[in-house]
Amino acid sequence: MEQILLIDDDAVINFIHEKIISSVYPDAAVVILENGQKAVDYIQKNQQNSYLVFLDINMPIMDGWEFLEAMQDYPNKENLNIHMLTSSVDLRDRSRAEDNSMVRSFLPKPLTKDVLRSIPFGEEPA
Amino acid sequence: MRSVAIEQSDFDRAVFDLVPLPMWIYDLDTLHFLAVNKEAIHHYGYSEEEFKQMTIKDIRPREDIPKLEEAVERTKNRRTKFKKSIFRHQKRDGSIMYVQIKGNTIDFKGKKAEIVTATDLTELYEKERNLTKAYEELSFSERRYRSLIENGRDLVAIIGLEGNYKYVAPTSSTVLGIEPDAFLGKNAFDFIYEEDAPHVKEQLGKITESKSVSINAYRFPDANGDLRWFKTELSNHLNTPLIEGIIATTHEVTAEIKEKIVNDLFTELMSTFSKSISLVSSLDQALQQLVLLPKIRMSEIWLVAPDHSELHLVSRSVQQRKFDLFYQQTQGFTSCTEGSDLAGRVWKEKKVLVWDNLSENQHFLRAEAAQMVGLSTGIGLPIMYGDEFLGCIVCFSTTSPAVLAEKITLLTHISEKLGPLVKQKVTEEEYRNVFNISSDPLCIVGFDGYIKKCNTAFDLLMGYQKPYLYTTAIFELIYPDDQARAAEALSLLISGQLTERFSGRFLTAQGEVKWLQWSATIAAESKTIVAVGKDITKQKLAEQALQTAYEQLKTAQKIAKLGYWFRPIDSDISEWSEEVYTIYDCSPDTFIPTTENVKQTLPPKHGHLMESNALFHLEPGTTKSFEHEIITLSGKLKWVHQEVRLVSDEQGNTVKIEGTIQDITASRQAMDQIKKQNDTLHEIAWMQSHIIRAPLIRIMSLIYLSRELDGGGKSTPEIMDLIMDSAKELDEVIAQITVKTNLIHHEHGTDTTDR
Repeated sequence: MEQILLIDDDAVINFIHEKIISSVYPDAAVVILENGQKAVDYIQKNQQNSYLVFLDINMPIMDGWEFLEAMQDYPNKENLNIHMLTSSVDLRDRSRAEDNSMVRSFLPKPLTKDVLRSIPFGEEPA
Repeated sequence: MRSVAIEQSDFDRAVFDLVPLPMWIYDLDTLHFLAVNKEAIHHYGYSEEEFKQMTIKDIRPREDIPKLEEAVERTKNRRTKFKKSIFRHQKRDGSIMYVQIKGNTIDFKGKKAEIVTATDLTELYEKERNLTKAYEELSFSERRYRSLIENGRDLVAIIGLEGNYKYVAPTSSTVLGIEPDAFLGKNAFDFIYEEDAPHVKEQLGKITESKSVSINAYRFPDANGDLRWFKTELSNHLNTPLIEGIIATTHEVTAEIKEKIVNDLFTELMSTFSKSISLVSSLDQALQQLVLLPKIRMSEIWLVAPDHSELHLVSRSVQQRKFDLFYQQTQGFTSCTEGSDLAGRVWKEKKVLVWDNLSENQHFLRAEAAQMVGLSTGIGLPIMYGDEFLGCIVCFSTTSPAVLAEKITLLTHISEKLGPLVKQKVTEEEYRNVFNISSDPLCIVGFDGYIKKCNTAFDLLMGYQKPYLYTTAIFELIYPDDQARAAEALSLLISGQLTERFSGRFLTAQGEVKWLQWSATIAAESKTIVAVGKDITKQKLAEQALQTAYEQLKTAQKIAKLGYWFRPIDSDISEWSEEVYTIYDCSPDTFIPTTENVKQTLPPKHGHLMESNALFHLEPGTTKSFEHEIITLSGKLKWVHQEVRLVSDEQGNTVKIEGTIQDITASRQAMDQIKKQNDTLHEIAWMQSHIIRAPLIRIMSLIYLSRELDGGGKSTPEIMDLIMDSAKELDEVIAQITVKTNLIHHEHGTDTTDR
C-alpha cells in the first residue's frame, strides 16, 4: 500500500495540501505528521508500506534534514519517494537537497495540482 | 901683528880719495869706520859723517853679521897683512851687492885698524850664477831626455816631409820588437795600416804650416805583424841645425782604442735597446750592428724559453744577401735543446765557444748549409745575467778563428755587457705583456695626478685615446662628487696611510658612469703610483638594486607586519629582523630570543608548540604554517602567522631553521567580525526563507485554495481570517529581520581593522 505523508508543522498548509491531494487522488491515504520525529516513528512502525513523502525543512523537534539523516539507515529506502516541499528559496537548502540521494526533488510551497500530477504515484516505483 | 904707521897728509888723502874703488879704514876693536874715500861714499850712498857714525856691521845684511864677526876675528889673528874674500854688502838703498874685499891691517892714529878695498862683483856674480843654473838644468833635461829615448815606451823618430825615416830611437825594439836600424832608409807609410794611411798623410802634410801637429789613432804592425794602435805628435825641426827634420813622438794607445771600440759598440747597442720598444726589434737592431763588424757575416740571438725547456732563435741578421741561403736551407731550425748545436752547447757550458770547420763539425746541426755559403767559424757567446743564462749570441764568419782573435775578444766583451740589457728588455717585455694583456684597467699616475701610462683596457673602458689620457689629470676623469674623496685617497696613499682600496665613479668619453675599484702601490723613486683597477659598475648597480630591494622589503615587511628570523641548528639563540622585535614589542636591547625566552611568550594553550620542538617537527624542504597567539613583552595578546622551514647545505645537512612571522591580530579580529556577520546573514537568509516566507506561502496557499479548490470546504470569511493571521505573522517576522539587519550594519560600522 502506498501512502502520502505530509510532514509539516503548519496546520493551514497541511489542510490546503491535503485538499489539493484529494482533488487529484481522491482515494489516496494521506497521513499528516507535524515533525520529523513523528514521521520517523510512523514509518518505522509501518515498514510494509511505500510512501510518497512531502517533507518540510523547518519544523520543531526534528527538522527535515534531521529526518533524512534519521532515515539514512532505513532498510526499505527504495519504498521512500521523498520530495522536499518548502518555502525556502535559500540556494544552500536547494543544494543540500540535491546532494542527498534520498531526495527526488526540491519543490516550492504551495503544492499545486499540476506539480502533484507530475510526480509518479500509485505505480510501481521506478 | 905688526902695524904700518901712516901720517895723515894731503897727499895721502888725495890718493885715498882718488882710488876708483871704495876704500875705508875701520877700527878692528870697535869696528867703527875711521875713514872712507869718495868712491865708497858714492858707491854705498852714505855721507862721510854717516860712515863715521857707523860700524862695518851696518853695511852687512843682518844674516851675514856672524860671518863678518868670524872674519874680523880671523883678521885680528892673521899673521899676514893681506886678505881677500867675497862678502855681501848692503847699500844705503837696501840693495845687496857681492863684493870682493881685500884688506891690510894697519895702525891708524894709534888704533889697530884695517884698510879695505871693496870690488863690486855683483853683475859678474849674477851672470855666473845664472850660467851655473842653466847648465844644471840643461844637464838634467838631457839626462831625462836620453833616458826617455833609450828606455821609454814612446817611439821617437826623425822623419822627412814624405815620411822617410832619418833617425829612429832605440825604444822601437822595446815597443815594437823592431830594431831601429830596420827603419832606416824606409818610409813610415811602408808600415802604417793602409786603411789609416790617408788620414796620417793628411796630418803630416800640415806640419809645413805649423810648429806641431797631432795625428789621431792609426794602426801600425809590430814585429809579429799584429796591428797596434798609436798616436803621434809631430814637431817641426826642419830648420833646426843638425836635426833638419820632423821629430815624431809616438805613443801606443791600443788598449784605450780597443776599450773605446767596445764602449762605442756597447753604447750603440744600448741606444738601440732603449729606442726599440719590443725585445725582438731591439735584438734585430743589435745584430745589425754586429754584422757591421768586419769579418762577421751572420749573427743570431737565441733566448731561453720561459719554461727553460729549449732555446729559441729570436733574431738573425746577415751581412750580405747571399747568406740568406743559409736560412733558406735551415728553415724550421728555430729551436734547440741544452747541449745541442752551438747555441745549446753554449747554454750547457755557459762560456764562449769557438767552433771552426763548421761544415765538417758533426755537432753543428747546420753544417751542410754552412758549407753552401762558405761559413767556417762559429762563435757562441753566452748572455748572462749574474748566474742566470738568458741566451746566447752566435756569430758566423768565413775566416778562421786565428784571424778572428781580435773580433772574438771584442764580441766577448760585448756579450758580457749585453746581459743586463737583455734581462731588462725581457723583464720589460714580460711587464708590458702583463700590462697590456690585463683585462683590468692599469695606470701609472704621477704624484702630480697626471697619467703617465695606461693599458688598453683602461683607454677602452674610458673611451679616450692615449694621447688625451696622457695629458689629463686623473681627477678630470672622476665623477665630480667623488673628486674630493679621490684627492684625499691619493694624498693618504702618497703618505703611506691609505689602508683600504679606493672605489669611485669615473666618467667615460660617452658620459657613462663607471664604478672602478683601485689597488695601488707607490714607486717613491719615480714619484709614481702603479694602480690596478677593477670595473665594479655591474656589482655596484647590483648592490644599489639590492639595497633598494632590501629597503623595499623592509618597508613591505613593516607594512605587512612581517618579520624574518632564523636560528642555526646548533644554536639556542635566534636572529630576528627588526620587524620581529616590533611584533614582540621589544628591541635587541631588551630581549634575547633564546628558545626559553620565546617559549615564555606563548600563552599556556599554545605551549605545546615549543614542547620538544613540536613547532618545528619539520621535514627538510617543506614549509609548515602555524597560527597562534603570543603575549608580547608589553603584555599584549597578538595573533601571529608563522611559516617555518628547515634549511640544508649542499650536502643535505640541516644547518638552520628559518621562518617568517606575521602579526595577523587585526586580520584575525576582522575575520572573527566577518564570521559573526556571516552567521547573522545566514540567520537572516534562513529567516527570510523559512520565517518570512512561511506566512507568505500560507497566504498564497489560501488564495490557491480559494481559487482552485473552491475553498476546500472553508468559507470565504474563514479563509480571509486565516489570511489576516498570516499577514500579521508576516508583519512580525519582518520587524524581527529588520532588527537583525540593523545589528549587522552596526557591527560593520564598528570594524576594528586599522587598515
